Amino acid sequence: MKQKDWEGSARPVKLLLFFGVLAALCIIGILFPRPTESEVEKRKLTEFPAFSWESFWSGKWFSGIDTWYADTYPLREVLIAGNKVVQSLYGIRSHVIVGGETQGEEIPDVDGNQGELPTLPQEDPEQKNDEPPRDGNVNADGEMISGIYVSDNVGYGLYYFVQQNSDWYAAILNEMNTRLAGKAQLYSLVAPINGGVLLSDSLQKELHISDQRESIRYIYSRMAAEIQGVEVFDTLREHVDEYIYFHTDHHWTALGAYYAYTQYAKAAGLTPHTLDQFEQVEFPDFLGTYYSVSGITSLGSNPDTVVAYKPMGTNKMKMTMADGATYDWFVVNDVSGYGSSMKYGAFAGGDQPYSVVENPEITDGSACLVIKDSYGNALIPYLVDHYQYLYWIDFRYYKGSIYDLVAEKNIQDVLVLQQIYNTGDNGALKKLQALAER
Amino acid sequence: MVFSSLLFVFLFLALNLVSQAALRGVRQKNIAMLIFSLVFFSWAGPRYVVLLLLDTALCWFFAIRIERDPTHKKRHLWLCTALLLVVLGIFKYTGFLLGNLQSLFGWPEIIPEIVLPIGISFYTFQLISYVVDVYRGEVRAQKKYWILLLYASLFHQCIAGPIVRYRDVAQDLAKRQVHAEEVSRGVSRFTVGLAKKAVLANSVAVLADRWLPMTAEGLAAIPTAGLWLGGLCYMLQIYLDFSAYSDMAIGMGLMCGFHYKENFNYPYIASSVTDFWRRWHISLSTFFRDYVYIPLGGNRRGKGRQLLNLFIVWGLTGLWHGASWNYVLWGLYFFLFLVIEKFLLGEKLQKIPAVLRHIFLLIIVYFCWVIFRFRDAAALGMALRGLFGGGAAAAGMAVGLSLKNNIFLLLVACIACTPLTANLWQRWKAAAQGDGVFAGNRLLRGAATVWEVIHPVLLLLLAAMALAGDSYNPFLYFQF
Repeated sequence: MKQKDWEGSARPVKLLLFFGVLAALCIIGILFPRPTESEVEKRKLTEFPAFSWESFWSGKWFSGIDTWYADTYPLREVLIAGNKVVQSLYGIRSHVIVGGETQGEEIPDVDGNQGELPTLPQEDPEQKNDEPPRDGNVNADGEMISGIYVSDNVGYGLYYFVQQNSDWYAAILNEMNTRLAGKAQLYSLVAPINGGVLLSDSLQKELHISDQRESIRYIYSRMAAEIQGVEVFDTLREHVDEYIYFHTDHHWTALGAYYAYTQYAKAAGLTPHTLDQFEQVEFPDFLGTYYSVSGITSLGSNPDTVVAYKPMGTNKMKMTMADGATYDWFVVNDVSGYGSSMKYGAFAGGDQPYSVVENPEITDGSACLVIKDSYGNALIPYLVDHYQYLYWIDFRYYKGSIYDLVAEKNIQDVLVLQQIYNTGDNGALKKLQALAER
Repeated sequence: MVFSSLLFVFLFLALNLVSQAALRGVRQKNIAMLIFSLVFFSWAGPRYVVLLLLDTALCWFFAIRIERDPTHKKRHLWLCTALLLVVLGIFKYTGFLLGNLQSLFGWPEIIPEIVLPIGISFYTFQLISYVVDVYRGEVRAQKKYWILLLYASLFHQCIAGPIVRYRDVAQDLAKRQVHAEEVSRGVSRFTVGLAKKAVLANSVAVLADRWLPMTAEGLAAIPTAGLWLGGLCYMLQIYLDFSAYSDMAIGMGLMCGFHYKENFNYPYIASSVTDFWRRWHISLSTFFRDYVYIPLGGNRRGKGRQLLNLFIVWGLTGLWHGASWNYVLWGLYFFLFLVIEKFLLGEKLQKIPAVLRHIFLLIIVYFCWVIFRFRDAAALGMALRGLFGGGAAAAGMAVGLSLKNNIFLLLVACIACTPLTANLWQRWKAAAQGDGVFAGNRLLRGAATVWEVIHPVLLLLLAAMALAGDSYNPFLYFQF
């Protein structure tokens, strides 16, 4: 019959193609080696679940297999990349908000009486910001990003003020200050993220995100008077037209960190160096967290360049890894051979538990400890030329006692440098509190 | 296991199809199918398979008794049905019952948490339909326990429907014939369903969760426009999700020689609530019609009794969806509109212009899903208040941005709720074959051939891409 002709003749090809592809995908899933880590997502991939009768009966073992199969499927990265392209077709995405909350809390007025200083919570405070990450709320480098606004191929992190957590952050610093009294001067630098600095105030209101300048002022107002709060927001605002934040990553650039450093220097009574005093190096083609984790492919067309400034006195550092092994490394490392998502690792050895620099050109015995998150990495190089000994620890990974460290190494200045997210994230606050109480 | 997962498609289904193709003879194929189905069932927890085995054993036993001992068949039927419903009641409705007692009388103090075994609502109903059909003489009792078990556990439809009646698959179970033409249709149907679920349903679900969150607290922070958008996305999600599962079931069935009936017929183009229920979850509404409404007397015992029968049926329909009062409310919501249509409007319904009838239906259905979504009364109240302008949240740019960012997705999702693309494809094929205005056009035929050949693989890959990075894969009816 002529009618069924073409459908009939197409049929074998259709079936062969479909079952062929299905068979291929099946065989790939069975035979091909499976990855254990995702470079793009910066995490270890799910492992095959351990067997136990209990998990077998309850079905947990099976659902673990499900997750493992999908998470480590050999073609997963290709498929995800394809999906990002498909998602970019969902609508007009020149301006996108991915994730984010609906609005932050109101920031209390800081002028007037300081009131009683906040203290550390005794039991687990009621969990806020503790829900599993929604789509768009991602965990990057172990740091929470609460939401991203993408406009014209630049990503802006979104911040939402939560008073309880801001008080908690101040309380942690107050605890540190009490225990360091008489031994070291405590400085607090809360770094705003790009959404707060680069976007106009009116746009921020429309986006329902919180005013970071006021949030930081509030936090500082809740700290004890002896703690030196380092104000960097206004300084950064002055340089809004410069390349102070990355387009595709949630960090600030070395230039942005520089301006913050100048404020720290002022607070600490040091004379800041000028940028032309440093040797400048560049690492292009950086596609950071906003790109890799949010799935907004348009950011791929606007890659960043990591510009770094090498310290004058020395570029050598010693870093101690989680397993206790110590390695010689570089304060500003050459990352030209690294993957495009890893280039922020050029600074300060990335996020290791404990690192030291000894500057041979300074002999006055000065020592500083920086308690940092990944924002601190870009600022640390500038501090090398002010202290004979510069120590830094990542609050997420350092397991020792900072007070023992301060006593042992005769540290005079302790700088707590955190991006503003960590003042709102339960996980970060818990870790900081543990550190402050050790 | 869910259909829309890489493990299911790339491993489980692939191996299952190989087994069905390679094994010779219906008996071998059935054994393999049973093994696969039980594995599929165990995936959610092997302990629940025991329940399935027991329920099936009960029905197997009683159906044979009904045939062998027809004088007492009524007693056997009632006993069997009662036992099955008690089991369903214990696992699904204990918490609900005790919760209500607690709020009324303060007792009991502690409500035990009973995990709902997967698929119990579906296979309980399927088994009940089997026993009743044997009782009515419409079907012979199945002597072999394992074949009955295969019927009850068949992974194509055991988790999410359609509710397949034994008589509709009895022949296929006994004798399977696989035709290339059916396999081809099955492949198309399956991949369409898979893509509909993985790409469309899952994506609008993300938007629905964003703009119509489940808690009163979350809802309070959403501007009114956002709630409306969320409601729309949820309305799309429910249909796309559920109909996709039926598509996949029917498609997989056809690939193996099983013929399941249609479960959805583009319900959102219905012109009345009565029409809607001829198009939505057809296997459920026909179940209630044949096994509850008609036995109760249907409309043959006077208007008053008919009203009562309808009330009972729709209350139960709602309750079947979940052990919570909002589902009962949902069912009775439809009861109300059906009564209005049948008794108050009657013939006058046809006089309303079609466009208006369609719009009214959509509005009615829109709100039914809002009721359906919230088990928590406070959240439901907050949602309804917010939808009608009582929202405290100020409008920001986020809603408009979200709409703009997803406008094409929403358009495609809406079109997917209509027979537009299906009709277009039929016309295109007809033209390629030589009918109609563009008869015999070489380009058209060439394009149709290409599309016919590649669309399954294209949809499969699209779905695979969506599933790969997708940690978000809920199935709304999974509590069944």
